[in-house]
Amino acid sequence: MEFKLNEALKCEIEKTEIDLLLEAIYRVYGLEFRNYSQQFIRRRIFRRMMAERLNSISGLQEKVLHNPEVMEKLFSDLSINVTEMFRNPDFFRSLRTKVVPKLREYPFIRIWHAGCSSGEEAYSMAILLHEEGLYHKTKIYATDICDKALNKARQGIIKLEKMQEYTKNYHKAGGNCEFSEYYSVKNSEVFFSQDLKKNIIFAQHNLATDHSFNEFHVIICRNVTIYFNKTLQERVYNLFNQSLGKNGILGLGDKEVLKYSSISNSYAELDAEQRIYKKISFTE
Amino acid sequence: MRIRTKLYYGLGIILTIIVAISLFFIQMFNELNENTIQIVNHRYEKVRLISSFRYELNNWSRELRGLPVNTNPQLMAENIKIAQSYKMNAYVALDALDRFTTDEESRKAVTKIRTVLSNYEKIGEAIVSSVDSGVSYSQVRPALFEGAQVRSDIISELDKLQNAEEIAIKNELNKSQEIHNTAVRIIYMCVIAGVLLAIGVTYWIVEAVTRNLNKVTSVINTAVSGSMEYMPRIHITAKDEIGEIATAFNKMADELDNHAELEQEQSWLNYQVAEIVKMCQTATDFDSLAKLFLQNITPVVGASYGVFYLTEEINGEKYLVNICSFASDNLDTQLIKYGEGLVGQCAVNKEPIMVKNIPEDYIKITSGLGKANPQMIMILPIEFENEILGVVELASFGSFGRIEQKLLTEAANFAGVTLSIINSRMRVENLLKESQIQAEELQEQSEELRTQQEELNAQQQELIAINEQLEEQYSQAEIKSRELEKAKTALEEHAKQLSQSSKYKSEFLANMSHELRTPLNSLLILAQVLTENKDGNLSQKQIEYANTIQSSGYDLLNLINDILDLSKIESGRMELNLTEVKVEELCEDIGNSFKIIARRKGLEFITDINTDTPTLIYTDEHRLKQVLKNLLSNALKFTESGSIRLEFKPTSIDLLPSVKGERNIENVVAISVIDTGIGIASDKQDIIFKAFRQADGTTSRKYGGTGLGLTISRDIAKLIGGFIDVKSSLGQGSNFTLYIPNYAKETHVAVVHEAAASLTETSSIEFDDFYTQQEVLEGKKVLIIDDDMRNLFALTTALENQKMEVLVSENGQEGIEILKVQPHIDIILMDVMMPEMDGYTAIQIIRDIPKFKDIPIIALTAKAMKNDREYCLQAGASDYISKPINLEQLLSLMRVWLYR
Repeated sequence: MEFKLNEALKCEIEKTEIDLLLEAIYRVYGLEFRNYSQQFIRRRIFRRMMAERLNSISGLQEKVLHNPEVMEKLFSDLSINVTEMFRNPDFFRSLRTKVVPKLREYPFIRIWHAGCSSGEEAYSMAILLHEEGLYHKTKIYATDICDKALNKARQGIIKLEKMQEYTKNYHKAGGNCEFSEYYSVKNSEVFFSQDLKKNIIFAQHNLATDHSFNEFHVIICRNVTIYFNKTLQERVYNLFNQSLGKNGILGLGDKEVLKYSSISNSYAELDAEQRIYKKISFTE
Repeated sequence: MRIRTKLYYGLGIILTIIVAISLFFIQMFNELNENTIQIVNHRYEKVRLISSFRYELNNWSRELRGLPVNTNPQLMAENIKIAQSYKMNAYVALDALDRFTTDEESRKAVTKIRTVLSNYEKIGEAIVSSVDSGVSYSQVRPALFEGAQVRSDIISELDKLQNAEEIAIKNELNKSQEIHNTAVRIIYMCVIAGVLLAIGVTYWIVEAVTRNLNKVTSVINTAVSGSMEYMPRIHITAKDEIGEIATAFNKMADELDNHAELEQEQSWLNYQVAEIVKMCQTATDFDSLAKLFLQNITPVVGASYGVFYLTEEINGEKYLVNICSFASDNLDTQLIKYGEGLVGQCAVNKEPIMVKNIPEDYIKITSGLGKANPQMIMILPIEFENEILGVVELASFGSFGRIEQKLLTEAANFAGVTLSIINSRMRVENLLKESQIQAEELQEQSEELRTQQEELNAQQQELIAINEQLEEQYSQAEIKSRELEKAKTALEEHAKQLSQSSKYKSEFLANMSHELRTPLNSLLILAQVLTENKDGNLSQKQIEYANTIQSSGYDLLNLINDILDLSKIESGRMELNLTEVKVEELCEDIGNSFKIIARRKGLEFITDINTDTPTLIYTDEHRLKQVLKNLLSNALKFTESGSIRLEFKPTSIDLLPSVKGERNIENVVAISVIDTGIGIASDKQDIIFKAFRQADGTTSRKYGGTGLGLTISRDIAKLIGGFIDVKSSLGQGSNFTLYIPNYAKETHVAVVHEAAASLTETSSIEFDDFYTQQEVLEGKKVLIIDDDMRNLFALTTALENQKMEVLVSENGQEGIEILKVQPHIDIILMDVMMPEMDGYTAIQIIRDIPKFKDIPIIALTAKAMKNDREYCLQAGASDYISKPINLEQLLSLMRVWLYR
């Protein structure tokens, strides 16, 4: 038998190596990346390979298995922590005009920010609800897979350089107070007011493996499922579906749609453009 | 009889009656008229003639009677003549009467009269002849008598005739009356008869016409009310126009009934098609469409069995795939090639195929109770734009009627459209899914890129941190070596401790004077406001007080500035700004300002630059000037008469002990201020450099001043690497010489920094922490535009405390001018409520200038006005903060917007 290394085979090898690496990570570290978007995983793995000066994914696998530090680095490579305050301001404006009126009726509001990263959106939500007079009866559960990001989120510290952008976002999102009321600046670092933190709970939660932990009125999960493949997306959406109460609200990122998922029939579009959905009760 | 004929007859009869009656009337009246004419023309003429005759006769007889009486013969002849003419006239009248008389009786009477008359004539002639002969009257008398008798005969005859005529007239009149009466009677009868006849005819016609018309109307009415399923018919056998109408109506009704039937069929068809359309619209894929289609169409057309085939291409060949069946017995073929069997043929022909008389064992339709052969099979192609998308096969126990076939054809057409819609929708959906995946991946990548950028930033910062660490290690090493040095020289250390304590004092002073300046600034601004007396409610005296407050305040401020300078120098916080200084310009500059004061005091002011002096000195111009001004103003202060001299000359480098051997120093310049003043005793020459001290050593200062000038001058001189030397004796004037090194251009900075470092060394550490916090704000230029003086003042003070440079303006227009003139303004604070030009307008104008498109503008709004914020942002403000301003918040906000 003769083995020849042609392009197709190389592709196959790469795919196998990636699968093996992810399998290894899952078995050894219990981290589930097997259902992440393949192209994303590939790019991130190659990046780590380059940084570690390795020639093959198998080489990286060896390092990952025998050197937890490399695993840690790979893990942070795989957790994308891009976030902003009032990211896509129109989304928050829509929350304010279309969702807040519905929330007023509840005696108590539970909100889940899944994949909150360093917490900017959770703080944004807190500000929004504070301005609408609902924050006192709200609990925001902000979860992420990445511990580092969560620690950052808990501190509520933001780099000064980002604040001009965030102020603009705040204005565009229909903020009706002064953004400067919520922070103070010390040593080029921006500290959010303690009042904003008091009803936010930051906790670790893995959307790929963990289960529902409460029933919520609102679930916000923006630009998280884009890293997942269809299987995992389906799992996450089902998880949200289980976790949402009657008439619950689901907010997704601007490139994410519910349309192709199996739960889409149970949801009505509250604001199609901003990807805000409302769970509709079945009358079967 | 036709209505037209009837009308002709009726109207003809009435017309005839009218004509007959009219003719009869004419006849009657003619007759009456004739009668009257008869009476008038004939009878009347007769009577007239009789009267005329009677008249003539009478005249004749009268003449005759007169004759015998007459005696005159002449007159007698005359009378005879007249008698003759009367006789003639009587005969004429009688002749006429004779002519007129037609009836026998009258003629007889006339003849008799004529006879009698002839007698009378004879008598008359006899009389005449007798008279002529002259017979007497008496003799004539018998003749006369006889004449009279004859005459009466004639008259009686005449009377008879006249009477006869009158009776005749009466008779004629009576006759006329009778005829008239008869005519009237006849007219009455005729009119009554005519009217009766006309009524009769009219009734006959009207009755005949309306009866049939009513019939037609009632039938049409029942048709209109539409209570019947079919149109009613008119049953009239008459052959008239109504009959024709009835026939036409009946024809129309037939036509309508036919049409309604067709329409019913069509609407059934439409309804069924619409139902199918409605049902099929819910279909989202081929299977559900086929299922819905069969479920709906099969029972409607009375079929009991149905299969739906969909065209699919398998390996380049077209097949029909059974995707759904109705009442299937699971024996249907699942895959049929094009052209194979009837179904395949149908797909090729694109025409429906109908099969009747199906053989026994062809197919059985089964139910739980049994099975039977269908009577008819129909195979329909489903096409869209001439392309076969599928085939439907249906079987029925009965047969498919015309309408069912039509329905099937239309339904198949529709199914074709729907199939193609579903097909394109599925294609679009697939594309959408693909694009969704691509969009997600793009988003992923962009976020990854952002992450990478952040990682790069982090790496960069890490590098910076490492660098800092290295530097720190380096400086620590240095400190260690210095500590070693310190240990060696205990004495030096002791001295240093002393100087350290003095530095603490200086720091304290620096902070204190800073704290002092803040309230003082307010004092000055408010005093300024008072002196301006804008409200005009202060008296002259009060304005003077305010002036005094202001001038004293400025004195105090100068003092504090001096202290601050001193303490800055001592605590090593004074920074040097080294530039090239042209000696000549410097000399002229300083000389000019002091010449005037000297002249006012009656002193001579001389400047002198030695030819060997370098034209350029590299040093801090500002500080150098400060020292020279200090020395010169001292000289002026203490000199009553004589001259003051400012000299520049080069000098030996060895004179500067501290920098001896430094390669960087090119040369040393000595600048001397020489006066002819009171001089300083040699034992006092040390004191004058001490803070708050003057040569006289008392507190009652004759010459004014803070007593800090020389101290500061000395320290500055030291800072710029030189020193001040004094040569003086009491009453002999004094000579202050400033020696400054002229550094080589390239190396000076490090040197000066080192020099400064040696001064600051330990003291700077505590300050570091305090100042790094404000580094964003420090040195930044802020423009405050606010019409409220108190606000301006409060903000100015607060921001100056942050070491910001503050420019103020009381209105928008002025603010914009300042902005245009002043370079490098970093941020603008804009009050929105101002007279003349409000803040929004000002912001808009500023934003319209391209240069200031991105300059941060913070709007100061009133808390009460909620819309203010939106207006601000619309006008172009970067952010807003409401009054009263929370200073902490404002500073945070400004840090955000000043971040670069």
